[in-house]
Amino acid sequence: MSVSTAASTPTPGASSAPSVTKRLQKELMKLMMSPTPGISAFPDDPSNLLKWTGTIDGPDGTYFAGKTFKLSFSFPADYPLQPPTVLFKTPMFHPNVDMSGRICLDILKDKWSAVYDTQSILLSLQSLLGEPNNKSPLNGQAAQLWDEDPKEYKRLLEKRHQEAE
Amino acid sequence: MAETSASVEERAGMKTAQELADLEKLSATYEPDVNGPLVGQLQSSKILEAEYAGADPVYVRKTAALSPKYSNYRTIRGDGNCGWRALAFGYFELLLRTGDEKFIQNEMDRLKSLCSWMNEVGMSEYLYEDFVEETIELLKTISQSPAIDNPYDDTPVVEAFNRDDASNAIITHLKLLVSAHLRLHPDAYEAFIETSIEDYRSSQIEPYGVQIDHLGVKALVDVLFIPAGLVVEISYLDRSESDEVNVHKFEDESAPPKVTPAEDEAQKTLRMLYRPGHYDLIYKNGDLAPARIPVSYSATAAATTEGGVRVSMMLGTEYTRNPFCSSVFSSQVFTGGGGFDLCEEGYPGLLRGSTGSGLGSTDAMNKGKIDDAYTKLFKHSHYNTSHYQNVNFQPEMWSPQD
Repeated sequence: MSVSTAASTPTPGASSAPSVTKRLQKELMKLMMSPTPGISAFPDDPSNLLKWTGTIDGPDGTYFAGKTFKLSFSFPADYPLQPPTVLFKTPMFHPNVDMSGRICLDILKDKWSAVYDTQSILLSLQSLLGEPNNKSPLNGQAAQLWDEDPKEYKRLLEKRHQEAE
Repeated sequence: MAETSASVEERAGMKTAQELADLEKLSATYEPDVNGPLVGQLQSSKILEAEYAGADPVYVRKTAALSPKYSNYRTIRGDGNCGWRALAFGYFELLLRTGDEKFIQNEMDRLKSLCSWMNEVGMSEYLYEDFVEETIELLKTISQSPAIDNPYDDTPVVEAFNRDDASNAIITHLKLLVSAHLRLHPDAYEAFIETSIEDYRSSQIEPYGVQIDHLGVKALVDVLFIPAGLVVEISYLDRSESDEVNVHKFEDESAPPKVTPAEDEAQKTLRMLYRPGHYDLIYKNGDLAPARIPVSYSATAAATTEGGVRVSMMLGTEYTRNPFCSSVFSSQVFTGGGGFDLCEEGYPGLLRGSTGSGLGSTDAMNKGKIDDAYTKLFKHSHYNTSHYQNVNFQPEMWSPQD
């Protein structure tokens, strides 16, 4: 395997099973070898593959265009049987994201599959930005303003986004 | 189970939000028998009877009727994956029990080729290959020495299924395979689903820890068992009004009527015991100890190539199927002496020695495969008083010198 450099470092995350490490190393290789425009992800610390930071660019033609959003990934020891915990670190104003950055997305919960990866999560989140599920909002105000008052939505999003700086 | 949750809901109507949350937390984290092994050792089914001794009369009656028919019982951990794990384990156990290296290798090739389904529905190879690898590794292990030489010794399969990584990888592989199958063959399943195939496979099939439902069992049986000529049956141990467990058999509906001898079919049947919300495995006595020489399952499509079993030399009749099913056979060999031709690869290394006289010209002789068949046949015959009518007798553990 071409991931020998990573394998030669001390075993990351004392409790993580070899299969988790192997899998995350593969995902990292894939992201590095064939990066997808508009998304990125990388481990925070080379000695612990269980914590990553990712970014997504707001899709063109949406409230989020021109902005970049940071996310944290925390992989459980039995990943990929269970999904990672993903949070928006950049303050967000979106119907399916709460004020703490928690996300309501089925593939991160009861529709998780072992053949999803970090890349597919980031792509799903990117499309969630443009196409929210307004039927089960975590942020009711955002859900209401999304259709009814784009100007106010834009203002509140800008306000939230400035908290990042 | 259904009654319980219904009454819980009813009472919940009068509870405060906090109490409700506590209740929900309790039921969300409840897992039966989480401390047991992923796959347990064989036990006597008398344990089930004892377990229900103080229970509802329906259960007492049914478990009492169970143990004479089904001698053994194997627990599967109640972690939400028990149905998947029971079926996966049972598949490997049945394959090993064939003692047929070639048959297992054919299954290995078949499962490798089914990866094309996963590609077709857009699953990335780099993400599923690790799961498939575990399945293939275990198939390799059981198709080779030393596992294949003792097909009734379940140790290699039990050990693999108790390693978290291997066990979970194998069931994940099967989940992905079933998911791909459902998406590629929606017509056969759609009518049984209230939502859509897409919703069903993503919420019921692929997520780890979601209990398999009846349709999931059917889909897995269609993918894994039926093409291999293997049968799955479920015995339902529930409160329904009957004296015995109700048995449901999953069979190939498109197949012509069975010509397989009943005894042969018993060797190829996986039996699951279902109690509301949980699957374990049960076994009939004949499943576990060979009543005869277990030879190649040449009746299945996989093994019909060269080496079809023939005993014509000796019996004057040509059996194109498994000749050792015939009870006539053992006594004739025994009394008449004689030789036979074992299925190619059917039972390598089994026979050593002395019965060849007068039969030196059979194919099997030339291949040097007739060895101690005489001893083996004696061991399994009813002339052997050590096990005659002794249900606990294990021929593989016994040697005539003892």
